[in-house]
Amino acid sequence: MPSYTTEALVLQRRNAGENDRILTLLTRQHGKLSASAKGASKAGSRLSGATEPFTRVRLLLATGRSTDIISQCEIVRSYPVLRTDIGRIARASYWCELLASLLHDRDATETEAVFDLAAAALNLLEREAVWPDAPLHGAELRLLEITGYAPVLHQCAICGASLSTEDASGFSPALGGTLCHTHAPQEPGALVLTAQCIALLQTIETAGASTLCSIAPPQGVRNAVNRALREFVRYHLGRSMGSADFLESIRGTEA
Amino acid sequence: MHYARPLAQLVSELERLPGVGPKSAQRMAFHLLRQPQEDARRLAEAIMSVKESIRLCAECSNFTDQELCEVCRDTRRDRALLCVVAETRDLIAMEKTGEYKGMYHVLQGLLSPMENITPDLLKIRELFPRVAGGVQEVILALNPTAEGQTTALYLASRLKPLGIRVTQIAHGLPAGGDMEYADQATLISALQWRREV
Repeated sequence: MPSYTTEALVLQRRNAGENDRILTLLTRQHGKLSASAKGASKAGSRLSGATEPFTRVRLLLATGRSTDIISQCEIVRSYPVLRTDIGRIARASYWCELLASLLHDRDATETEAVFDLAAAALNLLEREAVWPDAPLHGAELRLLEITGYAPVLHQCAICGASLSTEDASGFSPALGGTLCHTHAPQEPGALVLTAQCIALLQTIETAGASTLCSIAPPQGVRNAVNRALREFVRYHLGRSMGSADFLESIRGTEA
Repeated sequence: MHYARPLAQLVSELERLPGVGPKSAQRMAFHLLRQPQEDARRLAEAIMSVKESIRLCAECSNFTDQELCEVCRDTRRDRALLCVVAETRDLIAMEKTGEYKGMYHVLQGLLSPMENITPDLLKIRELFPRVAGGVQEVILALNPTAEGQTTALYLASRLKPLGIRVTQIAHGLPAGGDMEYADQATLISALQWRREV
């Protein structure tokens, strides 16, 4: 049975049978894939800690007929800070579910860039941020760009006219982004976004780590941006993610 | 090779049990077939009796055949201490230690946002009236997994504002364990939960 080594992030885990686990992994070389961790649910298994979500691991995988099998596993980083705060764990769950939902199995497109982005986002979620959603949205917009779903934020998604933030007044998930004053009222599914919200989205799109951790918009702007991106992702996935609903309920208690 | 219809039905039902594959189901079905009629009837009656008489304890959501479970009926237990566990089998594990004399609350699961297991699907709402009734400390005895930690943090975020002391059982090396064979996550956890001696 041929085998290969790779670095991976554990995105999701489900139990299979009495003792096994099936993992959804994001690997550096092969993109997203499923792998079986035999006996990982047994008490005392050396695989149990390394097969938890939000863990960065180095793996030796044996190629299986349907699912590859983990032969050896070593933890590179376990992101312990993520497990100390309900807001952090909710955002990490959202990020991992988004990666698992948006990426296709073994899609070799920009695997290294996606892996580095995924790991960097988990690092950033461990850091203190004035608005904890800013680092998450930064990574989210970058992932949408890599996968070809990036929202239009500088033009009207209908007429293509270049927008200054004063001209923009709507955001349509179905049409792919911001709308100008003329077209926003004509689009029934469009969300009303203030110029401040659109400016914030534009900033998040290009901001570096330190900016993302220090952005401090007013609560109303935060809520509107959270909603716009949530609706955008829901539209493109065709379903609502469980972790998005949970994160929304946690945000309600943070405000 | 096709089974006779009743036998096929039994194999198919047994296959639905956790950890039972087609081969095991077939072995069990043929074993039952060879058993005396009375043994098979006792098994069937035991299954039906469990389904008909077992319900959730009105106080702690433990499985019981009465209005209140054995723990909740015991007047000698310390009602100021409340241990939150995910499943009844975790309660049994805690009871086997013989060290804990407080009350329990069984959540009947763990939060898993990615699998759509949300707080309203667990016995979380039922926890708050109990806590308001004179509980001084809530001990979270949940698995050291992502789901266990999500549940623990969620409960802590809602209980602490009520002025309740919330503690969590330690995570780390098992008794009689060998550090050499422990995985890194366990060692990291053991380091984080260390205490002064």
